[in-house]
Amino acid sequence: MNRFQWGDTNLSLGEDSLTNQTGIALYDGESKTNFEGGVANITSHRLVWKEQYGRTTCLSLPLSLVQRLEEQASGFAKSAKIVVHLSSPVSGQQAGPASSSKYDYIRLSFRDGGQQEFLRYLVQALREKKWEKKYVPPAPPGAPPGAVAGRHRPGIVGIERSIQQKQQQTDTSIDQSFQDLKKLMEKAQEMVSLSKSIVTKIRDKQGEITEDEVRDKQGEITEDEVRDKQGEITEDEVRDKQGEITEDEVRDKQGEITEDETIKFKSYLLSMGIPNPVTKETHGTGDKYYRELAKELASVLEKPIKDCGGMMTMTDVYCRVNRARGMELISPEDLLNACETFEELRLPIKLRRFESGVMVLQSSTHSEEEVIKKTTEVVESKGSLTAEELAQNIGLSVILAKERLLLTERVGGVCRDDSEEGLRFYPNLLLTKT
Amino acid sequence: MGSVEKPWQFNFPPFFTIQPNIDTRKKQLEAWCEYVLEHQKNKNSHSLDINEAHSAIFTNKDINRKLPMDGVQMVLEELRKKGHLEWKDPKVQKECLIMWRTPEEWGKLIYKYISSKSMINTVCTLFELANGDDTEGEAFHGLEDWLLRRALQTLEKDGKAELMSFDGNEGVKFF
Repeated sequence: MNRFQWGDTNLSLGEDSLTNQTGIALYDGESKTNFEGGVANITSHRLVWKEQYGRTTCLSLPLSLVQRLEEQASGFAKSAKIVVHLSSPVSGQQAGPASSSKYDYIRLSFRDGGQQEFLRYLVQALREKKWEKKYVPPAPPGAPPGAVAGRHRPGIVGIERSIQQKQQQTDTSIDQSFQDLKKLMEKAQEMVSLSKSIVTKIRDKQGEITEDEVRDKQGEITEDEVRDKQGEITEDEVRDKQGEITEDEVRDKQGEITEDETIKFKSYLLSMGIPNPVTKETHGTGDKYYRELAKELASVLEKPIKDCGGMMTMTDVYCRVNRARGMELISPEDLLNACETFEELRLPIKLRRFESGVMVLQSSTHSEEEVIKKTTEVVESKGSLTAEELAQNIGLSVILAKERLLLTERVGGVCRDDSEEGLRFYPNLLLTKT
Repeated sequence: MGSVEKPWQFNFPPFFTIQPNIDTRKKQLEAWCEYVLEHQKNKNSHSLDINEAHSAIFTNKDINRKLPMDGVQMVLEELRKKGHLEWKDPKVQKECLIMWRTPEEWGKLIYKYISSKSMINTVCTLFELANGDDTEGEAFHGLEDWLLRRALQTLEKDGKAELMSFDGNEGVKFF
């Protein structure tokens, strides 16, 4: 009786009720119990006994504990019985009517008859062992109702069903696509860690760890081991021969790189636009790489900028510089960072941002007033000008010509005429003429 | 009354683009305000409809230019700030009163006339003032009643006049 636990008749998910039988008394092995005159219910998962009148007490026995069954035929003054042999109680079982029992079996007494049928159902439930199967939810909604109502309204339900199917398909395909992304991210991680390890190697190389230092740390090294050092050495081999070695030292020796290769490698990194690993160490605006680059740029660009009228847009600068460099191109970001150090380094070029967002490199001999004066003169002589016309006239790009006109307008040298015919600039008579 | 004389700017295309430069814009709007007032004075009209004005005043077909509506609104707002304009429908801003002379300006003109005629401390009816034979030729002759009242009210505020009723007539006494 200690396998029973207090329970209720509520069916759990996936549990079905098979049959009920009244007039059942429970025996704990050979002993009588107080549980007499109740209703026994076989479900797919349990044997439930409930008090018939009053219906307060309710016992539940998981069918998984049933080992075998025995029949006991009715006799004189004895009702038919079923003997249920049980396995040991499961630990953690909820509270029940008895905490211990000297019997490993219980008996159901059928005082109202119905033993044969009850037995049949019990056998069926034990055979099916539904408590072992994972609960499968019923068919998607729309299917059963569809099957029934389909005869009446196939159209709408069919559409609903296909919408649901489509949604499921979409979900699956989204999941699958994100699988691909996951793979991509994993690869990216690999690349990042690879480049990090290379960076470390280069850095360590520059820190100049010599073979001697390694040997000192390690004690005796054999000839073989020295030779091995020039190629690939596995961690195991080294450790085997020498005992305790630090991680760093092993890493240093793995895949030793020569000076030349380091330089070559650095230049590849540069050309790919990856910041020079060395400069990562220096902080603040005093970035060595950018300064060097800035100096280089200044010397290269000084003349071309002057030829262009003292001003060149950043896009022009970028194109010219990279064309000149040929192989080891610089990224726009690097160019910008280098240009921002111009003023600090007192180079004869400076970076300038206009209100419109246009960025130019301006020669320091370039005078704003000169430009304004010149632009006003040209506009006056021509009566009126568009940016394109001005560009042609003074031999500049349209962008720069426009900037000049806008600049001159800002100080009141010209005024604008904005119409369907385009944007045209006139001498500012609105201000000067009364 | 001939057609109003157009300002030189009217034939200058940039006049029809609201200028981004603040100083230039200020002069531009001033020129427009003056033109609007002249136009109304010439028509002797105190009423203006913004859409009509857009075609009649703010368009120059000869040079194919038109001041955009937001520009027109800027001009009218300037006039309002200066006291020359009052919206009949402030929420919609379609119809307005244009007073090419502000009530204050009218008040001053009237008072000048009155003192020149030594009519201080006398009373006269509003009718006499605006439509009497004596005032013919004066700028304020024929002035619409509502504007006349406003003008006199400004004098009242200055203590130079007082509006009153007598014998069923509306009159004013000058001090």
